[in-house]
Amino acid sequence: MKKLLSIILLIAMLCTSVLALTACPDNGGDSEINMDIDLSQKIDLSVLIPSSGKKIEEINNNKNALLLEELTGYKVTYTQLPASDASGTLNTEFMNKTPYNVIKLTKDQFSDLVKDDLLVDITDALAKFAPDILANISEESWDVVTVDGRIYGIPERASSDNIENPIVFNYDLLLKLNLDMPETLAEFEAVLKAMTEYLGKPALTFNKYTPLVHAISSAFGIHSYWQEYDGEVLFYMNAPRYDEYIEYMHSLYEKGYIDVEVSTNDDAACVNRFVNGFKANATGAKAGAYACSLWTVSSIVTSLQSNEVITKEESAGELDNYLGYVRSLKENADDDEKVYRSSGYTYITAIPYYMAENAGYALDWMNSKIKDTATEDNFRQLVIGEEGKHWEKTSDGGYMPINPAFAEKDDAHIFLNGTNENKYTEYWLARVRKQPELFRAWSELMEDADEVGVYNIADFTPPLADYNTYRSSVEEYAQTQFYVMLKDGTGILDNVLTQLNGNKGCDKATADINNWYKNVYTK
Amino acid sequence: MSSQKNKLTLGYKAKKYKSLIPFVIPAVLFAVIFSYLPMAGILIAFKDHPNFLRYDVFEAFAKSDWTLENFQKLFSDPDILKYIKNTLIISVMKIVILFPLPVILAVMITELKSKRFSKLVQGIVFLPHFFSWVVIVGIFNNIFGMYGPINNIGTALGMDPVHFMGEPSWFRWLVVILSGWKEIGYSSIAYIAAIMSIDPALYEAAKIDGASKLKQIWNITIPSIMPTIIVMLIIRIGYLMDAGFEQVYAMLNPNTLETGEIIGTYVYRLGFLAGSTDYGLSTAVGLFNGIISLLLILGANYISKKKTGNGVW
Repeated sequence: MKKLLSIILLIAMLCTSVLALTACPDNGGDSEINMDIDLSQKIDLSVLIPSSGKKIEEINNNKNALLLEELTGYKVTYTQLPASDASGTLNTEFMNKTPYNVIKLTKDQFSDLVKDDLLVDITDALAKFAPDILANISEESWDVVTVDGRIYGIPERASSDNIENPIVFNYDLLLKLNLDMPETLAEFEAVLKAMTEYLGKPALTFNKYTPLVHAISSAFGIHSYWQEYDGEVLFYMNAPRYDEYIEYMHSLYEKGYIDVEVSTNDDAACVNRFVNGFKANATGAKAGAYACSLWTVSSIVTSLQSNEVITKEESAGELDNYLGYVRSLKENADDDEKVYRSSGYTYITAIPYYMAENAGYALDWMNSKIKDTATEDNFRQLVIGEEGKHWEKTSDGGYMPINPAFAEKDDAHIFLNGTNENKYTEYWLARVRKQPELFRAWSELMEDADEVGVYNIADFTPPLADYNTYRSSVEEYAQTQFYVMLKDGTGILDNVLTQLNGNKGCDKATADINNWYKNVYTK
Repeated sequence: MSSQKNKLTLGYKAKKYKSLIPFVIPAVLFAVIFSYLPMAGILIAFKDHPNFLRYDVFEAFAKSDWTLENFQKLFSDPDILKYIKNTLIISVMKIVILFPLPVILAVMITELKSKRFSKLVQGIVFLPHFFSWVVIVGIFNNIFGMYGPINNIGTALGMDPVHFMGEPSWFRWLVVILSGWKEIGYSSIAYIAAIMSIDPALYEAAKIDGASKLKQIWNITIPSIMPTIIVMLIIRIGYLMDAGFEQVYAMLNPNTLETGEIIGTYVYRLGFLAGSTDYGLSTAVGLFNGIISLLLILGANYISKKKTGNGVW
């Protein structure tokens, strides 16, 4: 009996282990696009998108998803990447060959995947299956997804080239202290001093991902991550006046004007501090100025209302008595103003190599979404909806959202794969108009944008081998070292730069980017 | 196993303990599948960027070149020594400060007269073990924050507030404190079990001889659980190069990298963060780490066997 039992056990164990070893997915699949598919026999599509901040059921049942199904005739199932370490998960999905027909990637993820030969060359298929995509995306944009003359993805140009990194001030407090909005570094410091004394807490706050406070670094001629200095493209840490920038920030920190917890703050903590600055009897952390993204303005307004600093009626209007925005500071009052202007490609949509066979359907689906003509306005329907229901024309020809119906278009951007570049900026403005204070901030920051804006050169690069290899280590290192030097001063700067340009690979990335830049821009 | 010291042949042993073999098979299979087979992956450390995403494991492996570049990179990084130092300091602090605590706790719990109270205490001190580190670090971020209770008490006593979580000199202490708070209860289980199995007759005899409680603990309890303590210590030393990745990763911020970055977090940063796929270098660091751990555990076992006659093998 005992013997029998042990034999049975043994066999069971062996079976399980054999099963475990053989249950690996079978590899195979070719990377040829089938050009002779019958587009009238539509297949179901599976699409992987970046983290949307919502539950995936909400995405799959979203009104925009249902609208698209109706407009395009394709049934689509969406899956999303996690918010943290998305790229790591993406790599795993490729290892598992999870069958996604379409993957929506960031520019950096796209570059990494192209480098490893993981995406389908769609150059020929585009002409056959997606003529509208070809027609409505600019030559400049196609360059970003082209490697050795072949196209590997569909670029999604940023909605609008925004100036979006202001310092937001508690304007109410400025008025109370009889101060003007600062324009120069000296005035800025005086404001911080007065606010800090009044609040009893450091007046300036920002989050742990802000190694370059654009509004301040602008005074030192540093506007974006990668920028041209005397004909040479350099990473901001190698900029000629980076040491002065750090020295200035460190002096503010030493004097107690900068929040001690910046290296651990997330956005929620910063908003909380900033809003606390409005409340006379609030305890705990407070701040009077917050170097943030323009898009944080919405959460500030919401939080001001929920903390009863403003009423519900006020929150639906402009808040020019509460909030003030500075997009850049100057060293001297008569200096020329220059400031970082974001741009580039928010996302790039591509097809994994193992799903090449059915790429035609995927391209057809995306092509249908981008159509925007008098007879077929799928793109407009997706982005801003129907006239009279979601929006109406303003006197200046803009699109004014109709609330609350327009709210369902908040998520429309999740469903874009490439945009109709001829139309998108115009439509997109409707979204900024939705909240009056956000629109006021945006308009103020965008004044003379064409004259003062400075772009990040890396926003326009195609995949570059060395740049893409070292980018993340360079940026991460620069970010951590900023917080160290903010606290300890520039004593270690020489060491940091040696590390950055040596071990972290910034020298190689710089050479790569310059090489490309000189080829393109000297033409 | 037992006390038989005579040299028996493997075949004879296999025959003698035949009925036990099926019970060992799951453990052996587990070790083979999850510990020994993956060791082949060490070879990645000697390969030049194999493309695992595009090709299956063996194909990617065959396609990439052999190289020692990863080890060159590893040993030319001036920071790596700092990270090894951090790892060892944090680990040693954890062992020196935290290792005795579960033993003391176990003795205290078993000495409690009220069984219900003893169970209650056990339950409470076990509880933190089941929280994830991210949650615990979140809680302590508030407790040790600029405006948290610790600093509030400090300022009330006239001290300047300290940003504990961003202070390099505090970091390692916080790691030890948090780790202690979370794990002491759970670590004491083994000792409680060992104490429970001590023959009560020993205590009765000691009582008759007039030994005090402390004397009983010192002369009966501690020596009786010594083998357990030693085995636990050797196991713990085997993990010396692992200073608690999950905890340290959740606690680290730019200001504390100097004293807080350990091998584990460094490997993670290299191999996985922000889409980086430098598996070669990452594996090289891991291998290096493993070799040091192996040496440490062999050394600890050797010393323990020499001094006390107890060892893991």
